[in-house]
Amino acid sequence: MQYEVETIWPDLESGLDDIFGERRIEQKRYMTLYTHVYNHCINSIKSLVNPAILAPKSGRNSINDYRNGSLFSGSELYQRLKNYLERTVTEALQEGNEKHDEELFRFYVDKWKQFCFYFKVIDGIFDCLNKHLCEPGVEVNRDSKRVLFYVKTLLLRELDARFMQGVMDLIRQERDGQTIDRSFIRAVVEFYVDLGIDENSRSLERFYRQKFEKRFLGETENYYTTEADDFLQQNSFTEYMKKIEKRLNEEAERCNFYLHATTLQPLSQICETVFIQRKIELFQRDFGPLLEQERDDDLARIYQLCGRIEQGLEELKLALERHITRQGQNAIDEIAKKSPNDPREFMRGILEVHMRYKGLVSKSFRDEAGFKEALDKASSHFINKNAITKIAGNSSSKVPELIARYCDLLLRKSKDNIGEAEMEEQLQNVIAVFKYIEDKDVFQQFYTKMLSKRLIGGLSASDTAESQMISKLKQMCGIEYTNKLQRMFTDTELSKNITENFRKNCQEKDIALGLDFAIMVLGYSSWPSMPQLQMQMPLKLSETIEHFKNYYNTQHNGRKLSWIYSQSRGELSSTGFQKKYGFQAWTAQMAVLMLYNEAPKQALNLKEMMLQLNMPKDQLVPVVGSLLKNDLLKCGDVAAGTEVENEIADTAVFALNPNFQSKKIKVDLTRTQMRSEVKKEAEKDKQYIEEDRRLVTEACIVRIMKTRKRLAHNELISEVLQQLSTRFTPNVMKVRTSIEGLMERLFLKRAEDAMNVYEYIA
Amino acid sequence: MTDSAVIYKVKTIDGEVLEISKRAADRSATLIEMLRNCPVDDVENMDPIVLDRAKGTIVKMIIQWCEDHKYQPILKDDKVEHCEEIKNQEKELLKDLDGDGLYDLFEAANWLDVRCLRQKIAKILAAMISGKKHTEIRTIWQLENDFTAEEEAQFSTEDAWNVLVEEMTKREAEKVTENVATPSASTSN
Repeated sequence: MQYEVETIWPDLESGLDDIFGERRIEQKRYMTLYTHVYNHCINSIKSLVNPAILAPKSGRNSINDYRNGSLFSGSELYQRLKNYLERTVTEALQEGNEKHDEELFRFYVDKWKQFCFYFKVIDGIFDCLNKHLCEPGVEVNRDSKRVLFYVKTLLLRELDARFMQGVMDLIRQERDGQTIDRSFIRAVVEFYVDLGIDENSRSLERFYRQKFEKRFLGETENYYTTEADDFLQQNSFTEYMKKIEKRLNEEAERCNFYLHATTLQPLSQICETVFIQRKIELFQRDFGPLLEQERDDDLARIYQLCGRIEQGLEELKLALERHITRQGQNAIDEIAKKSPNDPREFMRGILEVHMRYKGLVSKSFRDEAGFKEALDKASSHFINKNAITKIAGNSSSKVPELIARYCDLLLRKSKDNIGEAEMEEQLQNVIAVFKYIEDKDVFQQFYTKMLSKRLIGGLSASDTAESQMISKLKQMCGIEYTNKLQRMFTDTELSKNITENFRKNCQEKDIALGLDFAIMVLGYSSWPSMPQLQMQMPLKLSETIEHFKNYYNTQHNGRKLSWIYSQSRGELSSTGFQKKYGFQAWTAQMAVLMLYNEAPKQALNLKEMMLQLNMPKDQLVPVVGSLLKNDLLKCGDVAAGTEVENEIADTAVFALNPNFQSKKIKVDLTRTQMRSEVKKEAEKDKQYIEEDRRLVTEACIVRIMKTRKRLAHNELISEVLQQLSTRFTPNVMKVRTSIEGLMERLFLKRAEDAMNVYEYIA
Repeated sequence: MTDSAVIYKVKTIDGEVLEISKRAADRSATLIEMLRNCPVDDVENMDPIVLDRAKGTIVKMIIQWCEDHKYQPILKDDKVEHCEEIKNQEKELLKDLDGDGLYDLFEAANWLDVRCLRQKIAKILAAMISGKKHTEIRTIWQLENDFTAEEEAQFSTEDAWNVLVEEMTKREAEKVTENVATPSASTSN
């Protein structure tokens, strides 16, 4: 037949010879060749198509025949083409047998370029083969390109064998420090990449990746593994780190310059694995000592390097946490030995450690979240549990107390005037430490009490500072926390107004009080509870009180005033001593002293005092005791320097001391406080906190159950713990007791159908 | 010289010399390849492209079609809705063709690899036979009847399609068993 392979092949072959011989094909020739192939393909199909499907009878023409048939005849042509190409290409490449290295490479590149052009032409001529050489239903393969691919593989096989090693050697030399011809390697890489350029970019994989990159990465790994080991034997760890940095930069630069951009990622990964991952224990081992030695730069380096690999930093974070905790504990141990009760020292110790490591985390560890967390955990640890708390018997209130006292010292009037900026900074520090306190409600308790003392006693250094602190606390813990504090503050402000208005009122009404009178009206719920003092006021004072009562009732009808004499103070001027002393005294002290204005022989016994003042004995004794301490009174029954006991006889006589002397004109009697009082106060504080916590816990439980209606025991406990943890660390036993208490009071009940499930009783 | 101004000359098998603009020529994949692989420096004076597999009339029609469509984008997707104008032009071109003419045109379009035209004609051909009985198809396309008498009878009575399918599957099964028994040399590429 006209279009059999035998007939057309010679013509095609001569055409191919022309192409490979770089002789131009003219259009006419081209069309002829193309048409040959076309006709051949069409006819081979035509001869089978017509009878095939439509005639079911003859086995010769079944579907499979059709398939095999067309494949068969078209494929013969293909086979011939393939053989021809194989032969020609291999021959062409033989030329390069004598060449080496760079020359060889250039030869291949040139040949490749030539081939590319030839194949384009061949592709065009054999186009029909491309289309028809397929199984029905299967996607068309660009067949000629498949041949192309085959040739490429041929080429590369040669390349690989002959001079890949040479290229790798060159790279090794460069790593050893020699200079090489980089543009040569770049050309090699480009060649590999070009080989792969196809319709689909996946081809990049086949050539560049499989042949070149894989080999390259393998070599890299080997090279650096040996280098790492050798280096470490000879040098210190810090030197090693520097070396790693250098190498990593080098490789990145190398990749940039003469490798393909996509290699950078696997390359870095290999380097990181070899240098860092495999030696991770070294990093971890040396991290601790570097922390001790405070080598911040090296620490930063470790961070950067370990950060490159997964999970590299985990161990380091833990090590940091342990280290900071230890440092903190040590610092406080020192302080505990010398002055375990000094708030200033305590704060100083904490801040020193905290600030130092905050700086470290920021500088060397780039404020990374995990490291900050380590710092927080460690700080929380050593602030709440340290030598000082141990001395205090592991009570949970020692730390908040110390910090509250520190605040008190800061905010009180003192000899050294702290400037506004410094005050701000100090308060900021306090807040930073406050964040870590576990039992924040204890802190609130102490702070409230101290604030009230400051406000009542007018001892605040600056109102701005006070409100600054309150607003900082508000930011930290929310409004609920600082509610009372805020109201205390406003009450104080308002009271000043009330005092003014009262004074004006008295002027208008022509009431002469005979003394300077200032009043503080405090909202009952906001202020801490203060002990009530029952007594009869001296005349002048009681008159004033009456006047004020009237005035206040006209202003605010319906409000009840309770007078807290225990907090009131006054000033007495005396003429009975050698100098004209002025005494600052509690009202009770004043009342006692004023008794002596009329007392015969300036001596009184307790019974008389009790009668005149209408004061119970246990309240009177501390007052008298304080006056004794101040040397204003003298008592025969009490030895000098001892405290006055509650059991002292009613008949004990206290005489005014006419020889009273003091260096200052203004004597402050309010400073002295009985030791027993201090103890009592501490007890009461503790009780108050316990009570408060119980209420808060119960409120929390009720709140949770109200929304959930029904909750299992464990879940309830965990919810409660979570919600309360912002204020204090709750004790699980206590929570359970609260739950049971609530059940008794019919807020909750156990569910009938399930064990350990509670239901809310509406 | 811009693309559209370049004109090629083509010579048909019966000696006619026709002209086609470059843009229109780009519709033929074969021509594109050829022009790329055999570059010509001097287009104006080059020899006409020899298309010696197609008659003058057919080539004319192909050129006409290409010129009409030369501004259309060449898409891979067959589902192209052409505008009215183009549709009219197509109708003009194809309306006078009978089976033979269509076949020739189809072949030429295949040879020159003018994809869209080939698709169009295939659609028309398919429309021609859709819904028709086998006897009618034979008339339209003037095919030989190579069925035996009994098969004819079979087809007239039963549902042709089912029978056909049955036969095909039977053959398939036979072939498979044959293959298993004697592994035939399957050409692997």
